[in-house]
Amino acid sequence: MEKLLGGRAEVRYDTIYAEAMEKITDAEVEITDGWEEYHTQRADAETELDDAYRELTDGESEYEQGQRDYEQGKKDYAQGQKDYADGQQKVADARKELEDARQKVSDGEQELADARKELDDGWTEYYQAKTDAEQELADALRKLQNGETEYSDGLAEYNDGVDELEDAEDEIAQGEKEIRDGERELEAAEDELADAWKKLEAGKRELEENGAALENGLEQLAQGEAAYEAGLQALTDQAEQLGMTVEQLAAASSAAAETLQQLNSAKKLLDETRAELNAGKLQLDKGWDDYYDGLAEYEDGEARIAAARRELRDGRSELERGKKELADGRKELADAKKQLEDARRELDDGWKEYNDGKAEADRELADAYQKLQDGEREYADGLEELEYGKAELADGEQKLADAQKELEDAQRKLTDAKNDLDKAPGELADARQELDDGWKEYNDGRADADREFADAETELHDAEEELADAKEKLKDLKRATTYVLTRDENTGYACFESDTTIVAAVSVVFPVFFFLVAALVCMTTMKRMVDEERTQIGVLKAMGYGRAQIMSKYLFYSGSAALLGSAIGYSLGVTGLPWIIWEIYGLLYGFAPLEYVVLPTLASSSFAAALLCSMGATWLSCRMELKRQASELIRPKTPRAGKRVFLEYISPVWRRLSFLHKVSVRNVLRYRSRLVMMVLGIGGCTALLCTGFGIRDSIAHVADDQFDRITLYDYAVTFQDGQTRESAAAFLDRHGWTEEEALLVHSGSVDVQSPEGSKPVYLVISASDTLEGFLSLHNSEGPVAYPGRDEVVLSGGLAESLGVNVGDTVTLTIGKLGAMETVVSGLCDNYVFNYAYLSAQTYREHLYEDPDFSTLYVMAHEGADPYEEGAALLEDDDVGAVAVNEATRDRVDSMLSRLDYIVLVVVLCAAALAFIVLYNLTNINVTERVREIATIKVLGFYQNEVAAYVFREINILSILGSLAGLGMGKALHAFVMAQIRIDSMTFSSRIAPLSYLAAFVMTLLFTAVISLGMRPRLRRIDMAESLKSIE
Amino acid sequence: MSKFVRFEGVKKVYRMGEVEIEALRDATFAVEKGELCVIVGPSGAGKTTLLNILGGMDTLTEGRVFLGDEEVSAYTPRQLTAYRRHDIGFVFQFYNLVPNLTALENVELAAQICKHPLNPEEVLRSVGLGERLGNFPAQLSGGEQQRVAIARALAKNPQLLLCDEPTGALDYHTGKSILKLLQLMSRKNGMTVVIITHNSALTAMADRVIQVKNGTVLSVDINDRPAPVEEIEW
Repeated sequence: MEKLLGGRAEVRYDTIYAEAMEKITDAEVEITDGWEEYHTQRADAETELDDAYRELTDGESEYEQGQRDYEQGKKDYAQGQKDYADGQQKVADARKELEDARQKVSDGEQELADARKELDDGWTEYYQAKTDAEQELADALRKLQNGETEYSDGLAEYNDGVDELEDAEDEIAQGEKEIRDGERELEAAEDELADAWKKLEAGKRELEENGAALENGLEQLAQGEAAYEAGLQALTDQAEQLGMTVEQLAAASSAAAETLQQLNSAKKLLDETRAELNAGKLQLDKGWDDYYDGLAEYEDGEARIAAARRELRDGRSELERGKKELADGRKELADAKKQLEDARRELDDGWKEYNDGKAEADRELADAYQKLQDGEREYADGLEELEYGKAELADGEQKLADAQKELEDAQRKLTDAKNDLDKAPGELADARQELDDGWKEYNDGRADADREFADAETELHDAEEELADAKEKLKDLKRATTYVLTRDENTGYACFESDTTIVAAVSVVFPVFFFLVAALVCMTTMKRMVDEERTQIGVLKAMGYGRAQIMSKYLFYSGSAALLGSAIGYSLGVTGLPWIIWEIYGLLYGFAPLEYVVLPTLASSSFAAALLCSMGATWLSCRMELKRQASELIRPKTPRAGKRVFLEYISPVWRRLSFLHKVSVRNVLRYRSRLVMMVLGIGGCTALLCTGFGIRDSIAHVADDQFDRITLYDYAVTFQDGQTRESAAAFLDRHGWTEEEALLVHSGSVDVQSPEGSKPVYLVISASDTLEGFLSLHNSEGPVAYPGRDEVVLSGGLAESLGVNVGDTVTLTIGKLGAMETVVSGLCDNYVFNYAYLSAQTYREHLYEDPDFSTLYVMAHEGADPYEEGAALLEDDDVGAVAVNEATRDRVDSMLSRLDYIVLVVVLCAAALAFIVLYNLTNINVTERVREIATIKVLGFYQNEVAAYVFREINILSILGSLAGLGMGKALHAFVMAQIRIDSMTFSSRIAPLSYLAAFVMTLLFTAVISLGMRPRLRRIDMAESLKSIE
Repeated sequence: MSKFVRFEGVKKVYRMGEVEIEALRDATFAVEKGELCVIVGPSGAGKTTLLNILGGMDTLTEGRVFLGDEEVSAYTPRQLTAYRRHDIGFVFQFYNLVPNLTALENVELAAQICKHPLNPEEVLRSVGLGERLGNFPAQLSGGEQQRVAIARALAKNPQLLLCDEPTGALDYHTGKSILKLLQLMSRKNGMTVVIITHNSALTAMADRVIQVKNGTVLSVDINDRPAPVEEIEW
C-alpha cells in the first residue's frame, strides 16, 4: 500500500507550491488596491473638513437667535402662570360640586338598596303568605268537600231509612190483618169441630141402641131355633117309636104332616131372620168403624186448631215487637234528620266561611301584590333616577377629570417652560462652549488627517517589502513524507461501525415485545367485544343466521381494524423511525439524503401477524360463544363468581393486609390473562428501559475507561526516523521535558493469527520493557505483567474474537519481515482498537533486527493545552506527526452523545408500550366495573378512595410487572450486547444499579400518569348506573 | 316529634340537549324520625329522581331538602359524598353487591369507611345470615343477597335507610320477608326507613304514604294503624 501511495508526496508538493504562488499573486493585487483606496480617502477627508467649517459659521448665527427667543419666553411664562391659577380655582369649585352630587348618589343607592331589600322581603313574605293561604284554603276546601260527601252519604242513608220504615209499617199492617183472618178462621173451625162432636155422640148412641136390638133378635132367634130343634126331635122320636121314618110318618099321619110342615116353615123363617141379623151385624160393625174414623178426625182437628192458635199467638207477639222496633226506628230517623240538618247548617256555614276566607285572602293577597308591584315600580323609577344621576355624575367626573388633566397638562407645560427657561441661560452657555469646542475639534481634525495619511503611506511600503520576502521563501519549500492508515484505524469509521451495529441490535429487540403485547391487547379487546355483543349474537342466532354469517361480521370488523392499523403502522415504521435515526446520526456523520426502502417480506409478515392476532382472537372467542344455545346467549352472562385466592390460606399474610388491599389482591388474581398481559407489557416496558439504559452504561464507560485508566499518556509523537533512548532524551531536553515524562516505543501493525482466524492489530513494543505510567496493562483481576521472552499480551476483545486464552500460542506476522510463534501471557482490558504487546527482545530474536522506536508517548505539562503543545512540537523538524488522545476521546464522546438519542427512542417506545397496556387494562377494568364503581360511590367513597379502589390493582400489577421486567431487562440487555460486536471497539456488558432503579421508577411513573389520566373517567361515572337493571 | 326529612318545593329539570325535562316539580313533604315511609307511584312518576336527590346522588334545580337541621340541597359535591357516607344507607333493587367479596366483606366495605359503624358480623346475624358470612354473592339466593345489601346499609349506622324497590327482583314470599325485616328495623331500632315502590299494596305497612304522580307529590297520608307485613297481599 505504501508503494501504491508513494507518489502522493510529489503531488502534495506541487499542490502546496501552487497554493503559495496563488497567495502571493493575491497579495500583489491587495497592495495595488491599498494605494487606490489611499488616494480616494484623502480627497474625502478634505471635503469633510470644508463642510465642518461651514457648519461652525451657521452655529454662530443660530446662537444669537437663541438669546432673543429666551427673552420672549420669560414674558410668555408669566402670563401662563396667571391663567393656571384661575383654572385651579375653577376645578376646585367643580370638585366640591361633584363631591356633593356623589354623596347624593350614594345616599340614593343606599335608599334603593334598602328599598330592594324591603321589596324582596315583601315578595318573600307575599309568596310565603300566598303559599300558606293556598295551603290553608286547599285544606279547608278538602275538608268541606269531605263534609259534603259525608253529608250526602248521610242524607242518602236517612232516605233509605225512611223508605225502610214505611215498608216495615206496611208489613206490620199486613201481619195484623193476617192474624185477624186467622182468628176468624180458627173460631169457625172450632164451631165445626163442636158440631162434629155432637154428631159423633148421636151416632154412638144409635149404634149402641142398634147393638142392643141386634142382641135381642139374636136371643129370640136362638129361642126359635131351640123350639124348632125340640119340635123336630119330638117328631123324630115319634117316628122312631113307630119304626118308621118321618116321611113315612108324615105320610101315615096328617097330624104329623102338619107338624112337619109347621116345622119347615118355622125353619124358613128362622133362616131368614138369621140372614137379616147377620146383615144388621155387618152394618153395625161398619157404623162403629165410621164412628172411630170420625173420632180420629175430630182429635186431629182439635190438634190442628191448637197449633194454629199457638201460631197466632207467636205472630201477635212478633207483631208487637215489630211495632216497638218501628217506633224506635221512627225515633232514630227523627234524630238522624236533626243531625243532618245540623250538618247541613254547619256545612253551609263552612262554605260561607271558606268563600269569605278565600275572598279575603285573595283580596289581601291582591292588595299585597298591588302594593309590591307599586313598590317595584317605584323602585324601578328610583333605580332609573339613580342610574341617571350616576350617569350625570360620571359625566361630571369625566369632565372634572378632563379639566384636571388639562390643568395638569398646563402645569406640566408651565413646569417644562420654567425648566426650559431655567435651562436656557445654561444651554446658551453650553452652545457657546460647543461652538468653541467645534472650532478646536476642527483644527485638531485637520492635523490628525495629515498624520494618518503619512502612516498609511509607510504601511503600504512595508507590505510591498513583505511580499518580496515571501516570494524568496517559497523557493525553499521542502518535499513531504507519506503515512498510510487503513480505515479500521480511523476513529470515525470505527465509531460509525459501532453506531450502526447498536442500532441494528436494538431494532431486533423491539418487535419481540411489541408483537407479544399487541397480540395480548388484540385478544383482550376482541374477547371483550364479543362478550359485549353476546346478546346480539344470541339474537342473530335466534333469528336463524348461520354461525359462519355471524362470525364473518365480527371477523370483518377485527380484520379491517387490523389492516388499517397495520397500514398506518407500517408506513410510519418504514418512514418515521429511519428518519429519526438518520437525523440523529446525520448530525455526526453527514449522510447522503435518506432513501426509503419498502421491504415486501417485512410488510407481508407484519400484516399477516396483525391479521392473525386480531382475527384469530375474534375467531376463538366467537366460536366459544356460538357453541352455546341462542336462549343462553340472550340471557346475561352469569358474572364470574368471586373466589378465594391462595394467599387467603396463608393467614399470617392475609390477616396483615388491610381490607381494601385484600379486595385488590383478589381482583388481581381474578383474570389470569390480564395478569399475564400486564406483567408482559409492563415488564416489557421496564425491560426495554433497562436495555436502553444498559446499552448506554455499557458503552458510555468506554471513553472514561480507555482514556482515564488505560491510555494514560496525553499524546504520541511520531518521529521522522527511528530514535535511540539517547536521541529521544536529547529531544525531550530540547523541549523542556524530563526523561520520566515520556516513553519511547515502537508502534506498528501486526497480524495476529489463531486457529480461528487472523486479525490485523496495533503492535506496541516498549524500548524500556515497561509501559508503566503511560499505558496500564490490567484486567478485572489486576495488573498484567509486561510480556517476557516469546510472550505476547493481547487486548481482551481481540483474544475473544480470535478464541484464544492465556497459555495459547498465536502467530504474529509483521509485514514482510516474518512471523513468530508466541505464547499469550496475559489479556488486558482495552476498549478502543486492539493491541498486541511484545518485548523488544522477542522481536529482535525472531526478526533479526531492532524494532523501529519512532514513537514517544508524552505526558502533557501540568495545566498545558495538549493541542497547543502538540502544535509546538510539530515545529521541530524531526517530528513527523503528533496524535493527541484528547481528539480520539472527543470523537468517542460525540458518538456516545448520539447514543443518548437512541436511548431516548427506546424510552419513548417503552412509554408507548406501557401506555397501550395500561390504558387498555384500565379501560377494561373501569368499563366492566361501572356498576360496582357507581355503587361504592353511592356508599360514599370519596373521589380519591374510588380511584384508589380501582387503581390499586393496576398499581400492584405494575410493581409486579416492573420487578419481572428487571429480570427480563437483564437478559434482553445481554442479548443486545451480544449483537453489538465490532472489531475496533470492545464493550463490557453492564447495567448500573441506578439504571435498574431508573427503569423501575419510570415504569411506575408511566403508571401514575395513566392513572391520573383515567381519573376524569371515574369522575364521570354516573351514580344512577347503580340503579339500572342488569342487562 | 320533629320533621326529620323535609322537601320544600323541590324541582328537578334535566336537560337533554335542547329539550328540558321536568322530572320533579313542587315536591313538598316531610317524614318524621323513626317512621316507615312508603313513596308510591307509577313508573316515570319521579320516584327515582326524588330518591336520588334525597340520597345525595343528584342535585336539584330549585327548592330545598333538609335532613334534620342540615340543608342537604346546599351541599358541595364533597359534602354530598360525606352525607352519603355517614347519613344514608342505600338498598338497591338489584342488590349491587361486589361479586368478588364475600357477604361479610361486602358489609365491611361499607362499614370501614364510616365513623360509627356497627359490627358487620352482628349486623349480618341480625338479618339472619349468621351462617353465610363467608359466601360469595353468586352462592346466595336473591333474598339472601338483598339481606346482605340491607346489612350493608345498616352497618353504616345511617340516619336514614333508603330502599329502591327492595322487593322488585324478588318473589312474593322472599319479598315479604325482606319487608318484614325493614319494618322490624324501623319498629325496633327506630330507624327512619323510606321505601320507594310502584306496588301500592305496600302502603298498608307504612306509617306514612306519599303518593307521587307526574313528577309531583299527589298526597301525603298518615296511616294510624299500619298492618303487619303478614297481612298484606299483592
